[in-house]
Amino acid sequence: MTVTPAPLLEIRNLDRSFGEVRALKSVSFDIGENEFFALLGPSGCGKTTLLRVLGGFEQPDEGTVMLDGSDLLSIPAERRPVNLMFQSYALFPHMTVERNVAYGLECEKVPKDEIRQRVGDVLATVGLTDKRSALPNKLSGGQRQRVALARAIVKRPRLLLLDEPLSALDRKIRAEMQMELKRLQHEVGITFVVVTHDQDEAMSLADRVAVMDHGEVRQLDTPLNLYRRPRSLFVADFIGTSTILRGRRVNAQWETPELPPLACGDDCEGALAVAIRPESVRLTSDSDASTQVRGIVSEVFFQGDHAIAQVRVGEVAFLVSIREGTLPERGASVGLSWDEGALIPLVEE
Amino acid sequence: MTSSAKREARRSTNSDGPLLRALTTIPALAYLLIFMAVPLVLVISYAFLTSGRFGGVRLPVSFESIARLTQPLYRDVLFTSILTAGAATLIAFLLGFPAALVITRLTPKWQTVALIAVVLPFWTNFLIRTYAWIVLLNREGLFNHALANVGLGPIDVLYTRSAVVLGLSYAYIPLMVLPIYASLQRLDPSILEAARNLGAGGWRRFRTVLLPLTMPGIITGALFVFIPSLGNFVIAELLGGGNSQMIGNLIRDQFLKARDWPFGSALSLLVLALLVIIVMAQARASRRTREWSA
Repeated sequence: MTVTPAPLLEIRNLDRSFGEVRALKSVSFDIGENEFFALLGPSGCGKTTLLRVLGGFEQPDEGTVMLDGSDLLSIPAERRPVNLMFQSYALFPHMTVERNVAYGLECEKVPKDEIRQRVGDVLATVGLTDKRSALPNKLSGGQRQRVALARAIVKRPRLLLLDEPLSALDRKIRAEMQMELKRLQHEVGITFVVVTHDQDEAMSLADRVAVMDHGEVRQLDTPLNLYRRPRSLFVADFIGTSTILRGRRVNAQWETPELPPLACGDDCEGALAVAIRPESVRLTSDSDASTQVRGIVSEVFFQGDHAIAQVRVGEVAFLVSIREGTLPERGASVGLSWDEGALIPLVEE
Repeated sequence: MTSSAKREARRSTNSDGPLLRALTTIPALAYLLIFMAVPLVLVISYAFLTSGRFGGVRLPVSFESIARLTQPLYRDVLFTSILTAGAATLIAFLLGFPAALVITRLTPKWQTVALIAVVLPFWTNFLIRTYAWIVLLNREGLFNHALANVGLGPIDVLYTRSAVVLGLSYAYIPLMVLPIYASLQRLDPSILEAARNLGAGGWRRFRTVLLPLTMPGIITGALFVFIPSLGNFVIAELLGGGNSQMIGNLIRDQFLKARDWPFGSALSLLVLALLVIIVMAQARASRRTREWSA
């Protein structure tokens, strides 16, 4: 997705410290209109602080946030066109589903007829029309989430923030809700920002993902590019699995301790390390001339549609994804090969 | 006790043997029987007997004391007592709720300090604390000195109904703060943030979210203040002077001065009946709140 010339949200040089801890370190990026954006990172990376800054529950020490070209930070939380779906859902336990959803419109003093109309519509959209008179504690986890979502989108915000939207759901409902969120985002045409520590959640939902660590945005890209072209050791390690080989390029070859020199392209020049994804690696037979290294199978993890074999070459553990053929035995001696382009250069820590 | 705790208690006794159950419950039952049921039966029966010449009661059975309760004089005392206790409860709430709210916003360490400060007055004798108010409120006291300094007063607060209300709310305000603090503590802070996020200003958040969700604590606190206030006679005596009688004073006087035990008992029954009604109403209200507090 390309960023439109005038982005919906412009975040510039945000800084926020809690005592000694710098939760946000000069964070800057744009979010486009109608984009499905994800903030991804391990706990403590600053993504929740950023979310709370956007929601108005936290003020940054430095920096600006512009929404539709006007200053967002000077607007109090209760008047921002930004709604938040809380991780705990934070439904009002003493109000029915209908009253929970109507609450935000009542605050805006929307006429009663219009409230009834819009609440009815949004409950139909999330499929909860028959639960309109139920109290939240009579609902399942998935239904509660739908109420929380309905309560936020009924306000038609410019920006919808979702805090770990899928984390509290079990596996099956997660998959359902994931599709539901995608569908809703297309249907209601609101910009979604998901905050999560779960790479699957971010990668499957978002058009673009900002990977954060220690208060910094380490890389901002489409899920596909993040996976295929991680810039740093952190991103390569955090997203997906890979074998990481520290070393340097000498004479058009990747030199790493413990392994013979590996063929590598020009883009590896100046890299700190290279990463190899499991699906780029093939097991080879004894006679195969393409074999680059030989090792011993130490573990095999069966995962249904594929299996991951861990192959030890000296101190290095390679991961190999196997989609067809027979699975190797533990302890078997195997050859490994990959194409030259399989080495992903990593230029940052 | 919450409903889940009650269920838990019931389940654990059910799993024990009947002998153990009997052994553990009989002492408590016996205690209740001796110190609650027996006096209660005495009070009820005294109310329907004739007064003895020097106190005590004698036959025959009489409904005279009960009938006297309807006299306007006594009705008025009961009515003003309810108003006084009600005013004290309201003031305790108005001061206690913000206090409890502030305490929940403190760091855990300072919360402990604040809570100890709240109950600290209980470590001093009740009478001494009440006498202290006499010193503060009299014409030469600190209160009137402060007023004089800003060019006001003096005001005669001491020996008025206002002084009684003040004394009662002061005496029982910790009992208001603690249950409200407990229910605020249980409240998920993100619920208030959600209300704010949806566009509710401070007053609306208080009215539509904070107040209803802490209502069980507020009702408990209100009962803890109202019930002892209604029966209290020491504060009315010390701070209220001669014309601020409470129903408690009236009951005590019937036993100790007028030596009319049947009428004292009848008055006691009246207060008791009132409290039973209030507690039943509270039980009803808390049953409703239990529906949504999972």
